Amino acid sequence: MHIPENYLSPQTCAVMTAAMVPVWTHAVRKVKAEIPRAKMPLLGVGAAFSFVSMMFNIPLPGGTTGHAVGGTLIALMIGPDAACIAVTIALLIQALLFGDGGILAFGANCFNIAFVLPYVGYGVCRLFERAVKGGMGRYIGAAVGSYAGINAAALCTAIEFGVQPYLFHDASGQALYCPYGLNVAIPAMMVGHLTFFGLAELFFTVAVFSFVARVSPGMIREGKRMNKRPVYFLLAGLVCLVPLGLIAEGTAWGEWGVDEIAEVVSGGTALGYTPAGMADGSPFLALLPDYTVAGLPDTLGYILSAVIGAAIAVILFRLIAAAMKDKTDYAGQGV
Amino acid sequence: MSDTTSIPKWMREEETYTPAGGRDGFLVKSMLRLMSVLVKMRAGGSIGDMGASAPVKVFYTLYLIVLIACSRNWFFSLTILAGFLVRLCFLPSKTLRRCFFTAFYAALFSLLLMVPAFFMGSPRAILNIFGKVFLSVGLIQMLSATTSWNRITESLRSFCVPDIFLFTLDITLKYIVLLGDICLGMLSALSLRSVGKNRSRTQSFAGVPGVAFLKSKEMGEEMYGAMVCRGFEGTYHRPRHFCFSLKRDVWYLLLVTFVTIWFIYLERAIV
Repeated sequence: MHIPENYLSPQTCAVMTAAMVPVWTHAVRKVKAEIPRAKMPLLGVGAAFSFVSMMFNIPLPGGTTGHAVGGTLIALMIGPDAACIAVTIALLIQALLFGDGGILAFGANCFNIAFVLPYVGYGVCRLFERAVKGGMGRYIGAAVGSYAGINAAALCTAIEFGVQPYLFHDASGQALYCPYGLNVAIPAMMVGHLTFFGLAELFFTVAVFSFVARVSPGMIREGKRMNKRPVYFLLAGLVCLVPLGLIAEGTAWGEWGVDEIAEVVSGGTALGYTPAGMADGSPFLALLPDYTVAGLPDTLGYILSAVIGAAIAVILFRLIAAAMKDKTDYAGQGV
Repeated sequence: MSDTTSIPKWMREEETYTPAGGRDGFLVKSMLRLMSVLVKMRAGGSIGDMGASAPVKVFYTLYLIVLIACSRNWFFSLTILAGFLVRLCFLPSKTLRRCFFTAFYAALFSLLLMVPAFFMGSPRAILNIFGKVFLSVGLIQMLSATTSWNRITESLRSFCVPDIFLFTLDITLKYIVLLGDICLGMLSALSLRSVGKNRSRTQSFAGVPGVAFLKSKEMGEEMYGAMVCRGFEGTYHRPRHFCFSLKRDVWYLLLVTFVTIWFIYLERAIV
């Protein structure tokens, strides 16, 4: 679902980033006002979970791949505003260190994955929680919410891809950026997400949510026991399992490299050209491109990337928590 | 005789004295800075680290720094970076902040020095040096956070570091704390006696380092006397009580073995 560099026009990227500015401002204000300092490291844990979950690529027939995001899971644990910030940080680490998602397209990726996904997922979950009474309502809400969230995000991504050839093309009609229109982009993106990737997000969300609810309910509800150790163990376990994501060998739809896009077959015919905007675009040299190191086994590179990415996410939020001042309620009870 | 005692009139009057506002920001700032240094010096080594002995930790840290400096394979530094970051995650917030930012600022400074490399066509070298400086300074910071100063100087003796170096290091660290305490006391006294505007405050403030210098001279003479009395010639003996414990130091041994094998494997991989 990550939009790579040069798939969207700079104008589209600018609009999407501008759209994200009020969202980030609102999210930061809400988090500063509502999340206590002691709970800030949870954002880091959430970002780390999201980062790691996005490394589990799932193969689909036809050679394409996709992954879960975990945005709804974080929203259910610490709220949608905090989830927006956590996923934004996860996306930033992916873009800067691993070249997963473009730097220019960062705003667009944040709009889809850090804004649409957690807010839609959280909203749908709350609706189901109200509709289905009892303990199961929360789990059903988490399942439906996560499924709806990832599909809403995939639809937004498909629309952003799909409008490119209509808005940006040369005199001969060849697209300058993403070459597939809405009629191709929406079905191509949604088929995978309505089936396998949506179910993967659903499974990941419900499994981790029920695990956290059992071992550390304080992470979900105020006043309950909080035990971070099992959650850290779960994170470490997921990091060890990330090489499973390497089983999927294909490239996700809309994430092809400049060298392979001309040969991509759609509707029975190959594209046959490389869009000018992509061919002339400047590539960003990431530290560990595609989570691998040249000359070394991919498995090692993948595990190392997961460890570094997850650790940076946790450290970043712990540093923010350390810089925050304690809120003292002088008007509160007790003297 | 009357049992009641009347309160004098001047005591019953309401105090109306309001001191004129004086600028004492520099005084408070100096005190806070001094206090933070003293706290750091005293808190050093307060964090447990798998119970390993100080010489083993010092050896491991120095060995790792040498390997990082010698490594030509970028992947080696990344592996150590991954381990270092994971360890950072589990440090208390203040120590994490100190370790991270000290290492980060040092690496940033090296980045500035390496900027010409970017224009000369070696952008990778900048990242390489940045990573190596970050790791080296970070590892030293972590050592100081998990091992007290006196244990570090003691363990340096095990590595045959010259006595004069150890003596200087030991005395410097101890006297930073002692003189720091004296300076803090003087600054507190100055702050308490300066109510409202005090024109001679700056003058008194300037006298603090002078008094500290005189005190250090006095303390140095006292220490020399104590050394003569006790027959100390400046020779540091090897710590007698240190003995290698497999149970205590096994993790560090495993880490040293792993790092060595990994280093050799990666160096061969790029030849």
